Amino acid sequence: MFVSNGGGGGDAGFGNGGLDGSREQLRRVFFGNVGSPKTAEAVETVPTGVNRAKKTGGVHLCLAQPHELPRDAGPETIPVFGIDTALCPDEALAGDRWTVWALRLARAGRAGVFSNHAADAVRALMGPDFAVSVLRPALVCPAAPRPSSRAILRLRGSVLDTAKWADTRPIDAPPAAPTVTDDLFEGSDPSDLASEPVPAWRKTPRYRLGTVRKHATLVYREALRDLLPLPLARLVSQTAGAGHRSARRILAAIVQAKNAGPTGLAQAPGWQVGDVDVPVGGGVVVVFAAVLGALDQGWEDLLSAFVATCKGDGQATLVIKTGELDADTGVGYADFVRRLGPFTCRIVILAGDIEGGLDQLIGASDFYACASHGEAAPLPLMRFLAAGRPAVSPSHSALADFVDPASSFVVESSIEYAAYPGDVEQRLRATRWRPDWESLCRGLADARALRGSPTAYQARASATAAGMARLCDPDVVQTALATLVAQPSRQGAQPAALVAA
Amino acid sequence: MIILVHSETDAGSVASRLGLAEYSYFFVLRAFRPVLERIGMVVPISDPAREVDRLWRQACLRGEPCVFLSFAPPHRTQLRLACPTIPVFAWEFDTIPHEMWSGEPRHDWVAVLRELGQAIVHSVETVRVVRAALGDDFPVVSIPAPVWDGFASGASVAHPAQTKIQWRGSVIDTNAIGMASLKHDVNWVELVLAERARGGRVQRVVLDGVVYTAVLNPDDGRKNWADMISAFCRVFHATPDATLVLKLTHHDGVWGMALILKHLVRLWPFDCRIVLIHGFLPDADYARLVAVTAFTVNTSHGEGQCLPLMEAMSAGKPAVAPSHTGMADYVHEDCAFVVRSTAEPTHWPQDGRAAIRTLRRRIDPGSLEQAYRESYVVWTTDRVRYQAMAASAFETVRLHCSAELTETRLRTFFEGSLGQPGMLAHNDDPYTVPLMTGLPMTIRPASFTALDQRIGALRYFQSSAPPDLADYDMLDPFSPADNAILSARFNLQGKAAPGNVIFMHRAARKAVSPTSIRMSGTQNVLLVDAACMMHGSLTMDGDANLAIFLGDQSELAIGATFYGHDNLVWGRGASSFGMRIWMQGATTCTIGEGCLFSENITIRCTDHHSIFDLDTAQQINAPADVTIGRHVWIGQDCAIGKGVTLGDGSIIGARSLVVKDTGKAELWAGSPARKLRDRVSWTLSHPVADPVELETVRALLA
Repeated sequence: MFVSNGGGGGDAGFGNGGLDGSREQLRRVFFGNVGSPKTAEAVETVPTGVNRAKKTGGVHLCLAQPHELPRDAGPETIPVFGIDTALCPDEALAGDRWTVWALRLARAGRAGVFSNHAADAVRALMGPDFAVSVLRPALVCPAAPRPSSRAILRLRGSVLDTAKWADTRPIDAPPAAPTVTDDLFEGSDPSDLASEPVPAWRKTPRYRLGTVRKHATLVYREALRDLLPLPLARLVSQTAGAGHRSARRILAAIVQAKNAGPTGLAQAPGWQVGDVDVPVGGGVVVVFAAVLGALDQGWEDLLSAFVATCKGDGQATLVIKTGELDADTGVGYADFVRRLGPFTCRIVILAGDIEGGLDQLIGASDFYACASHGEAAPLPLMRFLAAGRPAVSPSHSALADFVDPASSFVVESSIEYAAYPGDVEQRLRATRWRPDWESLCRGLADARALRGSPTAYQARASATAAGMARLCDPDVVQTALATLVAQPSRQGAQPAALVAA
Repeated sequence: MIILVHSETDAGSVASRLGLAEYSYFFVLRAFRPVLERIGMVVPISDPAREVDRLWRQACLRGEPCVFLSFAPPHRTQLRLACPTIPVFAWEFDTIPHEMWSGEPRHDWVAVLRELGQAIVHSVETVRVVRAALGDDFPVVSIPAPVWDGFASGASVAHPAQTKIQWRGSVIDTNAIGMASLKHDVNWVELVLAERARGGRVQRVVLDGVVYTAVLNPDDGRKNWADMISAFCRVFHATPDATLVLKLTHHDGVWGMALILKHLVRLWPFDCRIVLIHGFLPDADYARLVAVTAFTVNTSHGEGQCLPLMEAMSAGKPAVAPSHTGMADYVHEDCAFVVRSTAEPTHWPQDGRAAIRTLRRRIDPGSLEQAYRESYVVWTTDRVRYQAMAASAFETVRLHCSAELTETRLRTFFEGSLGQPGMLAHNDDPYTVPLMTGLPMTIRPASFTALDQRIGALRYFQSSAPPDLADYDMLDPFSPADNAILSARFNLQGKAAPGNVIFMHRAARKAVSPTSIRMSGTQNVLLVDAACMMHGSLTMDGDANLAIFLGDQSELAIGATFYGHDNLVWGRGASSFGMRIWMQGATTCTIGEGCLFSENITIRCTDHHSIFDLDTAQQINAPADVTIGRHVWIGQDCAIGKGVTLGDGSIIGARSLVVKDTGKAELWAGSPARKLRDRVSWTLSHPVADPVELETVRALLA
């Protein structure tokens, strides 16, 4: 058996599971303890996996969504994936027939998925008999979870800690970046650019590009256009959009290179950069933790719901752990925190790596908070639950396997329209879930109240860990994987969607 | 009753302001106006600061109630008018702004409303929100715009199978533009510019099938057209006879169209039809559009009241809409397919800091899809239920905003507010304004503007002890009680014009009784200090004159004539035994403290008639200020010319004509006056100067 890590663009299917290193970590978590090294071999690339499986007559588990499989992948290749949308995509991406999920899945004949939700979605697409197995990561859950305790999180990266930020009151809006609509339709008046000097940390790529474009448009329109021969002017008009897109890419790359990593945040208010020790938890402090990937939505809801619920409670803390942030995103977080101020509860945003991994944070936390719009494989949530940290979370997509009223505070959600991952045209074919903000507030408040009663909290924590122990038992995972691999490929099965058509 | 009305957007500017800030207040005022005309005489105001109080005082003189309805949000409502001011505003958030930002106190609506003392809003929810901030007894009432009568006749029109509408403007019809050929990376800018260049053509569209209609401003994020269209296209992707018509209200609708079209491309393919209409629809065509409509749609995050929805429902069209904010008053299960919504945090729209302080409503798209589906089924299969819903919509909106009910509500509110004591005087709380001189003056808001404009004249007295104006009794010549005193003593009858405000100390009433004051024009202000004895007359002609007497004089016999925007500031302890002051052309005559004027003195800030250059026709004798310094003594029969400044402590000999400035402590005399001596001054005491007084004078001139 060969295991490969589907390359290609984006983190699409793995979305929020992408914690730090995403797919590699997922591969480790899902398969690292499955089988002996003799039967499961990790290979570097997907084509290698395909070739070697074909040559040896083995099986190739490919951690990729069906549309990302290589074209020559046959029945030997089993896609293993999650989805963070309500259904599977049922049409080609960008007109490429090879990206049609139904066809690729039919060719593979079987699939491994990360959640019951994904399994249901695959069966809805391929018919109820399609061979799909749920592969959950194996996690070790303690029988009696340890209560939360004070921890000093040593972070390599950037930290925003409202306990260390003197003034979090909202400020007047920063000068807006000149937008496309502005410069094309409001006349190009350079004087309406910000008259006050804009601090360097505010000069996002968007702002810089807007400035360049505004002036360039003015120069072109006022000084050049009527001098150009008509065909040339037409050409400029037609290619300006493409030029703008390239300029945007180049400028973003330059700014990113300059602002890359934590240093770009060094001047932004609120952020501390470098190796920082952050004390968290202990005593009567209620700590909510959340772990976010770069593309995650819902953090605004989470922050605002936390402040709405715990505004005057100096003992309540929300810790958000993200990967390293570029200056744009970091300033975005800080701006949003300011817009919520003033408040006395504490918000900590940890951007970077915690020394000793996530366990430190888990140990210091009381609850895990999640306001996700869709999860393919909610690894951080699972790890918190496994450690006996109840969640305040919606119960949709892959979350539904783990979040139930017995262990967690379930947040209601409604649908929202979205595009499927990988769809460059961004067609609104998919639906995801938008957590209900009021319900999120209620969940946080209920959780906080529960923390006030140590016995009730401990009972809930134990139930949480026990529930996860059942779901993520290594035996269950191994059995599921063995079943999937042993399943003969039913290549050529007619997907339900195609039959219907 | 006189009803003064104002909205920032008027008929002349509405076309160019469509979709911009506060444009919809114009439509609200337009809807209210016929009902207001049944109640009283409606006078549109274009400049509240200048016009309102003048008209109010005229009305007061006639004994007629007068009220100012400002169709604007509180922070854009004119404050500190004497006239009772009622802001009429729409609001759709769950708190009103209760803090100030950007250094602008008026952003704090709680403070503004507290000062205005009353308000008219358009929904029960807004009443709740205002009262939550200002107390349960705050006089605020919900009176939605009376649009029912204008559209109710449409309810009787038979629903046509199809109709043709025609207007001048732009259109995008997904059945006609070849959606399949549009790509997501199309150059929208070129598309828009090309369409705009073609704009203003006559457009014709034939509408049929099940028509859903919404009227909205595509630039207003609160309208949430994205969910409206997305849900529609998903539900009706295989339903060719489902049509969604969006009538766009924005001065530059082409751009809004491009935004929506861009969104439609992301939803393509679908069989249903989306029609975007921009441009002014003639009344007959608008009526046809309403007639062919099966359902009216709204998916907003919040509405102050939503005129288009109310209008369509008046015409008997059931709605697909959420029942929140302003719509909660008339959207319910009997007349609408109610869309679920939940709260989400947001900021007040005018808050530049975007501070998260309030909630708006988030539409549940799943529920919206359900509402579309059900409504379509009802239309196609259950006409009985549809008719019942149509009837309910008609009746619900009648009870919500018929002209008849609106008139009753307005009358009740006006009676309640105008009947309250102090309502004519409007705001009896003294308003303490720290003036630039640092004088803590207690004056009433009505006079604030007038004082403020010319308060520079007070600068002269900066060094003197501030008068304790808290002691002043404020006589209002237009309150019945005060009027009796004034008419007996001031001979205002027949001569008084509105806008004059007189301040005088209660102890001085008898003392000033022989004085004759004639005030015409508006906003003349007279402050008379304690122990003032005044003989003679003040004639204030023209607008916005100000006279301030700081008191302590031993005799005050003056006649002063003001012709408009003139100021007289009379220093503390200055006495006159007979003088005449002429002011014209916004001049200021300042008399310093402790001056002494003999008899028959004339101060002229103006020559009254022009002397002009025959070649250039330019006036060469323009009016100019006269400033008499402190402790100046002017002898009998003197004349002081325009533009002259007399230095502190100076003396002008009898029968002099002064046309030049004098220095400090100088003696001038003659016609024209010349300097005879310097380093001299004078004392009241004689024949031997009182040593204390002498020292005081020396100190003053040091």
